[in-house]
Amino acid sequence: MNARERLLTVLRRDGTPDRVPWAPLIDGYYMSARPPGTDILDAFREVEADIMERHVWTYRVNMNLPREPGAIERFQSEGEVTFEEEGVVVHLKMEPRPKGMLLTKSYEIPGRTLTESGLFTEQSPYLPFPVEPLLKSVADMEAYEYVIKRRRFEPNYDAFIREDERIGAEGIATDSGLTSPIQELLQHSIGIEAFYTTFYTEHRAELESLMKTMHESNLQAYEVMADSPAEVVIGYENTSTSFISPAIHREFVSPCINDYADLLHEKDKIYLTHRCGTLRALVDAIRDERDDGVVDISPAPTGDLPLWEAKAAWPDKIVLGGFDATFLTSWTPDRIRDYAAEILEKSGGIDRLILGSADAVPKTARVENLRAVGEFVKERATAEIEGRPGPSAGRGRKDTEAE
Amino acid sequence: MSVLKEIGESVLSYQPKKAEELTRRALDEGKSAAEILNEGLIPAMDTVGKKYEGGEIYVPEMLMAAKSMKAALAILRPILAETGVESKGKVVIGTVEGDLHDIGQNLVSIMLEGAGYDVHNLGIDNTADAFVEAVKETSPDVVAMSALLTTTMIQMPGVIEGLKEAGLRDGVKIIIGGAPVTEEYANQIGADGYAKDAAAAVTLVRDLLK
Repeated sequence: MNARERLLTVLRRDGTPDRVPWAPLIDGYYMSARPPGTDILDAFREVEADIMERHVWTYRVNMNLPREPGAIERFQSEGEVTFEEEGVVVHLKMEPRPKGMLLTKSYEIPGRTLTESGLFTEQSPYLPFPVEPLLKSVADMEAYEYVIKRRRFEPNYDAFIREDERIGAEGIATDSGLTSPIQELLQHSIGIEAFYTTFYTEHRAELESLMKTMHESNLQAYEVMADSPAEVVIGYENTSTSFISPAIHREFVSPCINDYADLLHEKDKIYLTHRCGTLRALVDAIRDERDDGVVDISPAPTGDLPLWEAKAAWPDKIVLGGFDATFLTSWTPDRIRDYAAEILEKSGGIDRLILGSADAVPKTARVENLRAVGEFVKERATAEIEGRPGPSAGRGRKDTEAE
Repeated sequence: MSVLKEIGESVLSYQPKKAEELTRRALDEGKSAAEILNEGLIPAMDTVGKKYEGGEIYVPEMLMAAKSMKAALAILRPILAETGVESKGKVVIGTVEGDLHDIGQNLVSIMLEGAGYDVHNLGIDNTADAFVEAVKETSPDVVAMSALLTTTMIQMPGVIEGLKEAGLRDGVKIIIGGAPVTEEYANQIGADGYAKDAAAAVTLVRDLLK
C-alpha cells in the first residue's frame, strides 16, 4: 500500500490500512526554519511521513490579492498594492518594523474605510500577531457586511491538480475550508476580549446579522470546494475552550460545521476540522457535528485530549494528531517512540487513526523526533507482518529530556 | 437584597452598566469603597473563579464578568487610593520577549485585580531588562510571566537570571503560564509556580503569599 492509498483508506473509512499513517502538519511555520528553497515535500520525506499537504487551495478570493497581471509581483517588490473589486478598494501594504514586517490591509467602501494589521516576526513568521483588528465599532460591522456581500470565490483547480500530481503516490493534497464566522471574528477580525465584552454583550443583533452574512458567503466557497478535484477539505476552526464555551459553540459553531459538511458530502468529499486547543468540555458538541474527522488534536499542555480519548469519544470520526508541540521540541526520540506506542496501544485498533502533530509543527521541532514517529510506524508494521512483537510502550527506554 | 449583594449579582450576571450604577448607589448610601470591594466585588469574582475551575463557566463568561467588575473598580480605585486601603499584594505581569499574545495574561490580571491584588501589567514583548526595571520600580511580591509559543517560552529563564543578577530574585515569587508551559518547565527553570489558567493563577498567588 502506498502512502496515498494508506491515507485514503483511513479517510474514506474503506477497510484497514497496512499500518497507521503518520501525517504531521508541516506548513510555513516549520518551513520557515528550513534552508531557503527547501521543497515542502522534501520536508515530509525527511521525517518519513505520509504526505498530507495542507493549504493547497482550490479557490481564489477576489478580495485577497489583485488579479491584474503583474500586480502580485509589484506588491512583492514595492510592498504596496491597491486594487478594486465590486466597488471595494482594497489596499495592501507591507512595511518593516523593528520587530518584523507589518502587513496592513484596508477596505475602502462608500463612506467608510476598514483597516486591519498584523505583524510577522521572527518568532511567528508565518502567522502574523494581530496588531489592529478590522472591526472596532458597531458601524464597522455594517461596513464589513457590505464587503462580505461582495466577496467572490473562483475555482483555481489547476493549481491543486498540479500539486496533487506532484505528491503522487506519496500522499495527498488537502484543501482549506473557511472558518465558521464566530471563530473568524474571535481570532482575527475583532479579537477575543472585544468580541465578548463589547460586541457580543452590547450589539448582539448586529453581530448575528454579520455572522449570517459571513456564513452565506462561506457557503459559496464550500460550493466551489465541493465541485473541486480535492478529495479532502479541512476547516481550520482552531477550536478551544480557551476562547469559546460549549454553549456558545453549540449555538454558533455547530450549525455552520453541519452546513459545510452537508454541502461537501453531497459531492462525496471528506470534511475534516482542525481543532488544536482544549476540547474536553466540547467532546459532546463535537461528537454531534457532521464533519468526518478532527485533525491536529492536542494533549496537554497545549490541548487537553490525548488522541486515544478523542478516538473513543467520537466513534464516527477519524482522529489525527497526538504529538504536542512541546513534545516535538523538547523530548528525546526514544520518548517520542514510547508515546507513539502508547497511543497505538490505547487506541484499540488503527481504524480511524492517523498519527500527527498536535497543531502545526513548530519551527523549533527536532527533526529526529519527527523522524522517530515515521520510523516507529514502519518498524511496527514490519514486525506485525513478520509475526514478531513490535516496538511497544514502556520497554525501558531512557526517558530523559533533550539537552 | 443588600446593595453589596446586588453588586455581586451584577458581576455574576455580566451587567457592567448595572455594576457601575449600583456602585455609585452604594457610595451614596454611605458604604465605603473598601466595603464595596471586599463584600461585593471580591466574593463575586471568587465565585466566578470557582465556577470556572468547576467547568460551569468558561473564558467568555469570565471576560464578561470581569468587565462588570472593572466598571465598578474604575469608580472605586481613586477612592481606595485616597483612603490608603492596602491591597493583598502587588503583581508585575507581562509576556516575555517576542511574544505578542496578551489575552491570557490580561485574564490573569483581571482575575487578580478582582481578587484584591494590585496588578502592574507590562503588556506584551518584555525583555528581561524590562521585567528587572519593573521590579525595581514597583517592588512587587510576585512576577508573572506568560508565553504562548514554544519559540518564546525559552525567554523565561533569562528573566529569572536577570532578577538574580540584579539581586532581586529572593524578594519576589516568580510564576509562569501560557499554552506550552508546564509545571515541569516551571521546576526546570527555577520558577516558584505554574498556573494552568487565570483562576489557578489567583489560587497560586494566594498560596505563595500566605
